[in-house]
Amino acid sequence: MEYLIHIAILAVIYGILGIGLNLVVGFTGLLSVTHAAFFGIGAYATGILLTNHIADFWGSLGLGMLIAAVLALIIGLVLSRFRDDYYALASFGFNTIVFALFLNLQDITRGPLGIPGIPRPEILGYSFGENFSFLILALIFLAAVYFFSKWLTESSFGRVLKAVREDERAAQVFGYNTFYFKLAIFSTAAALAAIAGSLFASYITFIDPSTFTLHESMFILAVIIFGGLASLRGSIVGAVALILLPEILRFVGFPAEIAAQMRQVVYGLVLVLLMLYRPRGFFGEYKF
Amino acid sequence: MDNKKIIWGIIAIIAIVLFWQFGNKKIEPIGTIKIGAVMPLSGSRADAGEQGRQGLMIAKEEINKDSSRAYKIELLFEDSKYEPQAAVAGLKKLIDVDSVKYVIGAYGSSETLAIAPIAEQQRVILITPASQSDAITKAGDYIFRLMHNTAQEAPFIGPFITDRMKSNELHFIGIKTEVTPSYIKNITPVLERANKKVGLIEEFDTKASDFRTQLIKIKSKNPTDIFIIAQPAQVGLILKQANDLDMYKNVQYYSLGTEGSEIVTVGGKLVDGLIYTFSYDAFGSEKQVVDFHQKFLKIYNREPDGTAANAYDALYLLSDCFEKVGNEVDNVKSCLYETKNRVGASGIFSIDENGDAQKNLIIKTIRDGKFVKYE
Amino acid sequence: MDILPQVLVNGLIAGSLYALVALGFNLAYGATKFFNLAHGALSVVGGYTALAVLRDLGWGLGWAIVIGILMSAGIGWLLDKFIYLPLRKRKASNMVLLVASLGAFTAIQAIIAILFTSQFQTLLAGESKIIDLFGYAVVTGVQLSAFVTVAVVGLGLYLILKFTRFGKAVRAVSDDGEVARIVGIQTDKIVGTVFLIASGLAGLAGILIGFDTGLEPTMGMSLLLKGVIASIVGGIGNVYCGIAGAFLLGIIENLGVWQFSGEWKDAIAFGLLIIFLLFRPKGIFKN
Repeated sequence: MEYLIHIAILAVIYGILGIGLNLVVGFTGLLSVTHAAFFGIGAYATGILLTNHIADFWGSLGLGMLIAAVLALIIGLVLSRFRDDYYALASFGFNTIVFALFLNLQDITRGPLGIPGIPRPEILGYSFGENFSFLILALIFLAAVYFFSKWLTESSFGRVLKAVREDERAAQVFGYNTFYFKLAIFSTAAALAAIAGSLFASYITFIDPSTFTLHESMFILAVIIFGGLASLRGSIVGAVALILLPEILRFVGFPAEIAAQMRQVVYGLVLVLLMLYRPRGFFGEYKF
Repeated sequence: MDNKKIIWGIIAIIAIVLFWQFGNKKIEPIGTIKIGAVMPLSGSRADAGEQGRQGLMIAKEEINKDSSRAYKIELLFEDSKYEPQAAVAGLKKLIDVDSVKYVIGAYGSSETLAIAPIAEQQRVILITPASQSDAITKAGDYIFRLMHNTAQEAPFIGPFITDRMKSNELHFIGIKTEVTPSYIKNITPVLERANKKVGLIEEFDTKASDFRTQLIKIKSKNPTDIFIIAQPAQVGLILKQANDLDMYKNVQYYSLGTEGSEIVTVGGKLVDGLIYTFSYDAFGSEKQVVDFHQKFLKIYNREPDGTAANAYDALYLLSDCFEKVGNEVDNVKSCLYETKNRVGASGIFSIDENGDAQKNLIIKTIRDGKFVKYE
Repeated sequence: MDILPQVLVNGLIAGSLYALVALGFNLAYGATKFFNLAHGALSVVGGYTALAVLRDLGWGLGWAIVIGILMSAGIGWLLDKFIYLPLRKRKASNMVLLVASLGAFTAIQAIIAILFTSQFQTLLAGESKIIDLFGYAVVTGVQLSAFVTVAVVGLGLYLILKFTRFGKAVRAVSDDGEVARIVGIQTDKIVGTVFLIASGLAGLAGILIGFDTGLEPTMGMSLLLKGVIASIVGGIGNVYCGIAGAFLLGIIENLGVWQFSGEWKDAIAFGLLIIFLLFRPKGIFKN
C-alpha cells in the first residue's frame, strides 16, 4: 500500500510536469526540451529555502515559480528566434547550461552533494509528513494545474496558441503578436514545472543536480508524446503509464541492475514506435 | 580398586551427558530480523557495491548457521546505483514498505549523506561500511560509520610525505567538491611544520575523464610530488595521462584513501607505486582478519576490500547486539556505542561517541595491481 | 608560457575526435536534413564492439577496429532502413525524426549499458607510446593516429564526393532530394549508403576515444553534441567546414579549461552553439 502511494505521488508530480510541457509543445507547437531546468528551479528553491529556514514551503513555492518564470522569459527570448529542430537544439543548450549552474554554483546549491533533509510542507501546524496526506496535497495541486490549463487552452488565448502551432504566419497576418504569446506560454509552463519541483523536493527530501538533466527533459517529452500531444488528460495518463512501466518490469523479475536500463530501452522503443505508428499519442489531437 | 574405577567411570559418563545436554544448548530462534542493505549494485561503482554485498552474505550465512544465536538475519538489498537519488528511493522503500529498522549502507559519501537525515528522522540505525566524508561524523545519533574518516588521513600521511618529498612543493589535482579543499586545509599545517608547502591546486568536475590541461599546468612547475583526490577510475586515468604527458617517471604520486578496482583496470601497470592511507589491510595478521580473507578468497575467488570487511563486521555488530539486548532500536543503538577494542574482519576498532569507528591507519601502496601495506 | 603549445596540441587532438563525429553527422545531415541524435550512440557502439573483440574474443587490434566500424556502420544503416526511411516516406516533419532518433539513441545506449555495465572501461590500460613534438609538446601514438585519420578520411571523402559517381549522386541528393529522384537517382539507396559511411565514421571516433581515454555508455550524448556544435560552427551541411568547426571547438574548449576551470566545459560549448545559432547560423565561413 505504501508502495502504491509512493508510485501515485510520482505519477502526480510527472503529471504536473507533463501538463506544463504540453502547453508549450502540444498546444503551441514549440519543441522545448529544457523543462527539467524549470523543474530543478522549483526543487532548488524549496530545498535551499527550507533547509536554511529562510521561508516555509508556500513561500518557497511562490519564489520558485517566480524565478522559473523570469528565467523562462530570458530563455524564451533567445529561443523565439528559432524554429522547429533548431529550437529543440537550442533548448538542449539551455538545459545543459542550467544544469551546469546547479552543479557548479556550489555555494548556493551545494553542487553534487545535493541538499538533504528537506522537510515536508506544513500548514497551520499540520505537517504533511505522512505519505498519504502528501498524496492528497499533490492531487490538489494537480487538480489546480489541470483546471487552470483547461481554462487557458479553451479560452481565446488558447485558440491563438493553436493558431500559432498550425500556421504562425497566418496568425501574425491576423494581427496577433505571436512573439508575446509564445513567450507567455513558455513562462507559464515554467512556473507550473516549478510547482512540481517544490513538491518533488519536499517529498523525496533530497535533491541533487542529477535529476535535472537533458535526460529528464526527454523523459517528460516522452510522457506527453505517449499520452497525447495537446491532451491534458493524456499528460496524466502518460505520466501514470511511464512511471508504472519500470515497476512492472521489476515485478516481472528483471534483476535490479538490468531493470533500470531496461526501462530506458523501453522508453526509447516507445518513442520510436510512437513516431512510426502514432505520432499524436494516445489521446492526442496534434502531431508534429 | 575396580569399584573406584567403575564409580569414576559412571560419574564421568554422567558428567559428559549432562554437559552435552545443557552446555551446548540449542536455543530456539526467537525470530528473524530484517536488515536492509543499500549498496551500488549497478552503475559506475557496482564493483564496490558487490564487495559489500559479498561481505554481508558471508556474515549472514555464518550468523544464521550459528545455533547459539537467538535471532536470524534476513537481508534485503536495494540498489543505490552510486546515485544519491536512487539511494534515497532504496532507503524509503526499506523503511516504508519493508518496515526495516536497521540498514547497512551506503557506499559513496554523497549517497550516505543523502539518506542519513531520513534514517535519523525515522529512528532507523544506519551503518555505513565505506563512506569517508567528514560530514558523516555529525550526521546523527542513529548514524554509524565503520570506515575511516578522510579528515584523519592528512595528519597521518602528511609526515610520511614530508619526509620523502624531493622538492618543497606538493601539488594537488582534485575533484571539485568539498573533499579537496577540506583535505588541503587539513594537510597544510603538517606541510608547513616541515617547511614544505602546497603548490598548485588543479580541479576538475565529478564526471571528468580528460585531465591533460590540469596536468600540464602542474607540469610547468617541474613537480616531484603530486597528490590525487579523485574517483578510482579517474585515479587510473590521471596516472595514465600523466604518463602520456611525460610527467610520470620522476614524480611520486599520492592519493586519497580509496581502493576501487577501477584504479587498476584503467591504469594498468602505471598505478604501481601509488601511495595512500587506508584502514584495512587484507593481509593483516589478526586471526579474524586472516579468517575472513581466506574465506572470501575461497568463495569469491578474489581479494576482499575494506567495504567487504566492514560490511561483515557491521552485520556481526548488529547480531551481537541483538543477542545482548534484543530487537529494540534504542537498546541496540546504545549497545553499538559501547563497542570498544573489537577485533573484526577489518582489524581492531572502537566506536566513538559520534558513531565513528576509530581504526588503525596504515600507509599502503599498489604492487602488481594489488593493494598492499607499504614496506 | 611554454604550456601554450601543449594546450593547443591538446585542442587539436580533441578537435580531431570531434571532427570525425562531425564529418559523419554533416554527411548524414546533408543528405537527410534532420538532426540524427542517434549518431552519438553509434560512436558508443563502435567503441564497445572493439572492446568486446579485444577483451572477449581476444582478437587483435586490427580486427577490433574493423569490426567496430562495421558494427556501427551496420546499425546506422539499419536505423535508416527501418525507422528514418519509413518516416521520410510519410513526409514526417524534422521534429518527428528528431524524436525518433532520440528514442533510438536512448534504447541503444541502455542496451550497451546492459551488455557491458556502466563502469568506465578503457581499450588501452597502462602505458601509451609517447611522441615528442620538437620539444614543444607531447602526444601519444593514439592521438597522433587520430589526427592522421581525420586527415586521411577527410581527403578520402573529398575525393569520393568530388570525383566518383556515387559522390555526385550524394551531392545531388543533398542539394535537392526530390529533384534527384526525378532525375533518376535512387535516393533511398544513396541515403542508406550515406548512413552506412557516416555511422562507420562515428564508430571509428568511438574506438579512438576508447583508446585515448576510455568508454562509458553515457558518453554518446556529449560526443554527439560536440559534433553538432562543430558542424554548426563550421557551417551545417558542408562536410569540410565541420572539420574546421571541430578544431575550433577543441581549441576553444582547451583554452577555456586552461584559463578557467574544467567544470564549465559543456556549458561553454553550448554557449558557443547558441551564439552561433543566433548570429551566424550558416557557420563561420560564408558559403
